[in-house]
Amino acid sequence: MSEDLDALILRVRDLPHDRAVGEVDTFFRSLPSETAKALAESRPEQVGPLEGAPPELRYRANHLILVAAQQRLHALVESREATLAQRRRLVTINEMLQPAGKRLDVDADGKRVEVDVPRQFLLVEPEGQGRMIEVQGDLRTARNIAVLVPGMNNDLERVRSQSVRAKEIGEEAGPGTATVVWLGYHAPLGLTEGRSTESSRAAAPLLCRFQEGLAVVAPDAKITLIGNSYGAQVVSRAMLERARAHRYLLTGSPGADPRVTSAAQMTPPGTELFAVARSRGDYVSYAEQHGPDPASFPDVVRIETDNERVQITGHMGYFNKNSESMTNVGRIVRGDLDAITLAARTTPAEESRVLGTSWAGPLRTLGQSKAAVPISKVFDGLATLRTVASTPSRKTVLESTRRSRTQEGPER
Amino acid sequence: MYHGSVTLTEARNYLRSELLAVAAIVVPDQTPTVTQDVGPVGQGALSDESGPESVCTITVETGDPTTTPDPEAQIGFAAETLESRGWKVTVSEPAEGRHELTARRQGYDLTVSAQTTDWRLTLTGQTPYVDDL
Repeated sequence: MSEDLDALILRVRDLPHDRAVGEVDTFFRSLPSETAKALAESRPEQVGPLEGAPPELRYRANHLILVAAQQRLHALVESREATLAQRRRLVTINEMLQPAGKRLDVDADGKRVEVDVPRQFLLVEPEGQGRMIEVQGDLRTARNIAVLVPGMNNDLERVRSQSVRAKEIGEEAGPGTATVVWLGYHAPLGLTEGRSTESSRAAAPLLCRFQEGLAVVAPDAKITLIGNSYGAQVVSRAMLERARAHRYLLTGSPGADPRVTSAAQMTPPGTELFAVARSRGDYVSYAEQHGPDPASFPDVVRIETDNERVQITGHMGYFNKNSESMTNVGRIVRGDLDAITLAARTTPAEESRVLGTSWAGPLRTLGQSKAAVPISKVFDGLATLRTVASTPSRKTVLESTRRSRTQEGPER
Repeated sequence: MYHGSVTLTEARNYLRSELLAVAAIVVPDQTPTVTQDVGPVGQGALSDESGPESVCTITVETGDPTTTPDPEAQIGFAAETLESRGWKVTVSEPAEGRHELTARRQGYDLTVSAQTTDWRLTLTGQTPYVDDL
């Protein structure tokens, strides 16, 4: 059986994604459940990352990979040979092996009980920068699935933050939702790497294959692919390679490609919704490092990010609790498309003028410099100050072009 | 890394106790449970994780599995309870059997949600962002 698995992996490696995951699915369906489980336990490195394989088997395989890494690192620490990075990684892996939390349930007698919620990984790469794909919820029964692609500076040590945000998005979308944190790629570490599309180009086919595998595992679920910041660059590249999803959402995008100037150029066939968000003063979107900002495309659905309770400025707030941006994320994921609120269609240059200075050009230049990270933080602060002190609200200035809360559905 | 008059640990402890207190009042015969409280995380988790771990999110669940769910009444009672404790509350229009309110006080954000098909009441809160202090 082990040889059959090796032959399968070799055979599907260069197949088109849909055929590859189909063959993997067929292979595992042909196995008795005990045999399949034994295979996952004897060959975790092969089954753990295999798209199209049953998620339950992959969860088990990846758990075993984590346990093996934990033991290996623990031995290094015990023998005083562990580096600081290895010690940090051991802490991370210990945490990844802990339950995600608890939930209330009822036992067979109808009594209320607390149940641990286990971590579920479809991929773990415990070495180096690390990669991982984590699932929250039940992929088999979910009506809606949100796949989140994190951006720059995300490695295995940041797993906990991503998981918390995914949980919040799941709660915002409501019951019947599963979420996936897809850190199945090596995200750029630092602005120098972030200026390159090398990472996103390498990630796109991996994400495409993952999405095809998800469609096999959850054929009836509606899948929303969300990319934020550099993650939006990854999702854009995947869309250009026809990544399979029902809905796409890009927030704080640094651009898709210099040649892509409209949604029609990148929206895969059969898409229900392609939406984007750009909040006021988002220097990453204004800089358009990798191409025109999709929020400026003439044919795109641009979601509102602000409401009367929470106003977002800068690049970091798209998933802020109780913001209109986050509320719209929930609406998109659960398919409540008529309720999505839309923002004005403006260009980065127009918004920069509203804010009192033209940032788009200078920020493109700043993005090339080593000082870009601290400067970008300053710009976030500037945006806040200007909003409070001197800038008319976007609602006032852009009223003529704003499309207020609407009952109409998304545009195509 | 937490600036302002309280530390992040103090803010986290305060939020937890507030969630538990409100949950205990809204469903008085049941002991509320903290179902998630993993500690500080980065507020830009999905975009650029280079910032400090500056936000705590806590989830509390409660409910009585032996009673018929009445989310409208529960959310209404939760709104009254929060308002009496100084929270500014906004109750959302119910959608697909989902009843929800959001509340804000001094930079703390909170959501309470209940379903027509579920006996559980979920309260999720978040400590203030550094910018809000």
